[in-house]
Amino acid sequence: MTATLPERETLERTWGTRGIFGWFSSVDHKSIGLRFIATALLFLALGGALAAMMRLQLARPENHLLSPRLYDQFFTTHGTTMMFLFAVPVMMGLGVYLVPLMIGTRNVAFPRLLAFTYWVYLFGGLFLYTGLLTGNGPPAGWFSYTPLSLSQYDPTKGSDIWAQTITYTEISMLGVAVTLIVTIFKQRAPGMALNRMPLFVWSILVTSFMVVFAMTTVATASILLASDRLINTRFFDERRGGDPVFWQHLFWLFGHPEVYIIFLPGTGIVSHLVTTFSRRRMFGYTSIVFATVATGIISFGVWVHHMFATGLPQLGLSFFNASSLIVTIPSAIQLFCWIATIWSGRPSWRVPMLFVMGFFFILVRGGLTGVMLASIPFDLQTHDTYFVVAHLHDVLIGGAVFPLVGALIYWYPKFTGRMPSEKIGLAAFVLMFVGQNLTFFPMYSLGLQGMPRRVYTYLASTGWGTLNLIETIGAFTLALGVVVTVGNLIVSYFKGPAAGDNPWDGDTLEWATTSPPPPGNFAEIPVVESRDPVWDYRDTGVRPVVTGLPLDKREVVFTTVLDAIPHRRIELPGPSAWTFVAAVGTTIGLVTLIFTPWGLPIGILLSAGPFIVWAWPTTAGST
Amino acid sequence: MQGAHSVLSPASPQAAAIARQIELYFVVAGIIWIIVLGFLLFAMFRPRRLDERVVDNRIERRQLVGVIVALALSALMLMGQGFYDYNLGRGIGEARGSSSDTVHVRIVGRQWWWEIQYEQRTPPYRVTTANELHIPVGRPVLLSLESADVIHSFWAPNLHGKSDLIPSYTSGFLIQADSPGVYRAPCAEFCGDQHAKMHLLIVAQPPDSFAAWYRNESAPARAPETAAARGGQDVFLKAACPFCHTIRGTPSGGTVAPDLTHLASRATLAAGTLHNGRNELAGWIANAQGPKPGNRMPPNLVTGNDLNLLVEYLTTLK
Repeated sequence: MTATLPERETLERTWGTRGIFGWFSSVDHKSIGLRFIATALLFLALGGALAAMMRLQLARPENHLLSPRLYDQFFTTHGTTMMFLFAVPVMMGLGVYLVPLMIGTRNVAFPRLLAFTYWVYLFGGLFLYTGLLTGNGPPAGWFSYTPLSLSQYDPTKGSDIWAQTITYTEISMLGVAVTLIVTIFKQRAPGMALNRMPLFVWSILVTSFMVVFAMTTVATASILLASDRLINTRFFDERRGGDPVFWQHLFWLFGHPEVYIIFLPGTGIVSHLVTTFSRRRMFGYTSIVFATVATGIISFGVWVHHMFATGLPQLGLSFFNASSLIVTIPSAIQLFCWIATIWSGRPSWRVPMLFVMGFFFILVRGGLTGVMLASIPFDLQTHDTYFVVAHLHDVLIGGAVFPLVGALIYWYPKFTGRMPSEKIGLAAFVLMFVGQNLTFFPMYSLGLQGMPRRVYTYLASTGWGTLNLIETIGAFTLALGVVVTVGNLIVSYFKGPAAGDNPWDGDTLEWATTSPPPPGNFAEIPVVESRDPVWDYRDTGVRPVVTGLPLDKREVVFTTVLDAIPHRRIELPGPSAWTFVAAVGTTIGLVTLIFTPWGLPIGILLSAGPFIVWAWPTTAGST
Repeated sequence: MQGAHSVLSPASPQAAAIARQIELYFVVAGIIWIIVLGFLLFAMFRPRRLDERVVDNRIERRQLVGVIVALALSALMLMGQGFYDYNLGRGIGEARGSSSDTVHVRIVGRQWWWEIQYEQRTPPYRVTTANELHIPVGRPVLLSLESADVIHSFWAPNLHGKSDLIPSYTSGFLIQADSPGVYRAPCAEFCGDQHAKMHLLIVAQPPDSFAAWYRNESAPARAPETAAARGGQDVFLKAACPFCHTIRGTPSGGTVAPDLTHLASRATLAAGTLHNGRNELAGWIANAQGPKPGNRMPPNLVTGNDLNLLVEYLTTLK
């Protein structure tokens, strides 16, 4: 760092916030990113607790721990939580924290929108759990198939709350996605052409585009469902000219890209961990980028493989059989490139790398069973059985949660300035790995033995009791692994040794600043000349930087989309508590809507005011 | 009964073809899994020369060839799978259609039981029963699947894959059993509180015993012979039962609950989830909400001695 002390103090004054009010009005991508991650981990704990209750209920046949209705509410809330409130937000939160650091800028392009999205996400999640705790848990599954989710079959407020929660989280994730896309396209450090961009940033870019298309689809679906339930429209009600299958198309047109929205950031993480811990640059960088983009596009053409049993024509189904096979190829490319990187590198067995190994072991199994499910006859036998439960948890936990835990340990020193304990990390890995396999591997067998999904109990005569008991033990082992991981993160915050700027010898720009990064991220904006800028700085001892950017304003460099040639200075908006007020207004609107259509004008009125104040133009320099 | 719902104990040509596919895919996938993990482990543990510090172009080129070969093999295998899938799907699909000896059955999914209607070209044209589908061994059975409420899914793992029962749609689904036996078909699409307890029993019988069963099933209920049974019939007709249930041959015509004309000939109660014994039947009538909470049968409609009489009557309905 060549910045002088007064310069740093100026930077701190310009970009920092203080006190409770500062906390509410913060627009710093780092604190918002960490809030997303922490909140998502909280929802992981809640969703996990529901899963634990479900596993206890299923531990033996004809158990009476949970009533059927409660079980339905639990598995619906579990799925909704894990997909909408944990997996996507935690990955996007990691993106919010890391992307500006990795591309060498001071903050995201729309900081106030980002702050708003966090509050909307938090309130949406709390709303879902308020419903569950007041006996209005959604009972129709995380997929809420019509007509089961229409008011005729679910007269409770459960499905209304579900639909609104979906709308909430989609508003939130859309805001994050748009913010990240613009930030990635316009704020990369000079020299960071698209073909030098870190692979995690690529994965977040592709994911964000997928969010834009997929989340608008499901938000449309949830709004149509809410209006069928609340104002008697008839999109899905077959007795009045609607079509229940229409819902399935809308939902899965979102639902399958959703899986890749969760999985692609996981692959981005793995690319970074593999690079750092193999101590060589990524083999086949361009192919991995191509594979990421290809996955993003093809994933929008496979949704009907969730609907093979609905009686669509054979030839139409065959198209989706083929596309579901093709979507494997980009994943295979990534897999082979990672192995090649490790092969010709000098790998070290650090704890994040262990999670990469766990990722390979579990994800490849999940992927291979996924290829099987692409086959129509195979799918017709295993669809809606525990085979699919096993497959999806292998893909999502193996493909996203294992990399995520690896990422939390890997970037923990950057988040906090302290090293996490690798010994405890190892223990957590062993628990999670054993737990995962013990819980989900027997489910493949149960599925083939005929155990359907979403059943609150099963008959003793089926002989499924033993495997289910093993799974329950496995689930608690897995949960213990997650608890130990979180405990590690908490304890290390107080006890961990100081980390220094770059404890793992990473190659990307987040390691070029202090740990934790100062307000404004970099004392001086770096200039990038290759894909591994920090290794260049290490090897050459030269660190080129941008000069001439005023430190007393919230100014960032805008660069061109393809080659990252600087072309403008832009002043970003500063802190504003109106984002919080606007989110409260939106929440009041969305909650009121489930009781009366007047919620719509009320919500618009309550949020329009804060929106206008927050977007009110200021004269230059008055922020 | 563990084999009675296993995908890997096929009892029909369709299920046998799919079971072969499943076994083949498991072997191939297992081999691929081991190979990939083997490569990964070797990559991690491979002994390295001291001068291997720098990755040069020669190594990169060799690796590129390796990756391309692996990718080409993957693509070929996926193509192979695509053709296999397509042919298998078509082969199973071709069995669709109807020949002269096809048995036609309409199945209506309801929360949470199965209504079954045989529709024949010869008298008796139509026979209605519930939760127990009898089929003759070796003859194709064309199911016409419908739903009266939410989406359900028909799935007899020993016989074939799944086909959804979607309100306002009718889908045809052909099954056939090659060996006699009792096969289970649990509802496979989440359909509400009692999705777990919505099973259909499929009884595959030799043609003779199927014909005998069918003859018996098409007849109206036999008249009560004992005083107790006559009393039970009175109880049935005077209580709320006929609003929902039908016993053919009596003035009862409810259609929203299972037809009880030959209740005593069925093996189970509560859609395949309770043994059809005297005690279970009495317990079910007294409080159906106990074993299957949320189902549509109200509790405490008949109590005390009336309950005994009613059970007496119902157990005569062979």
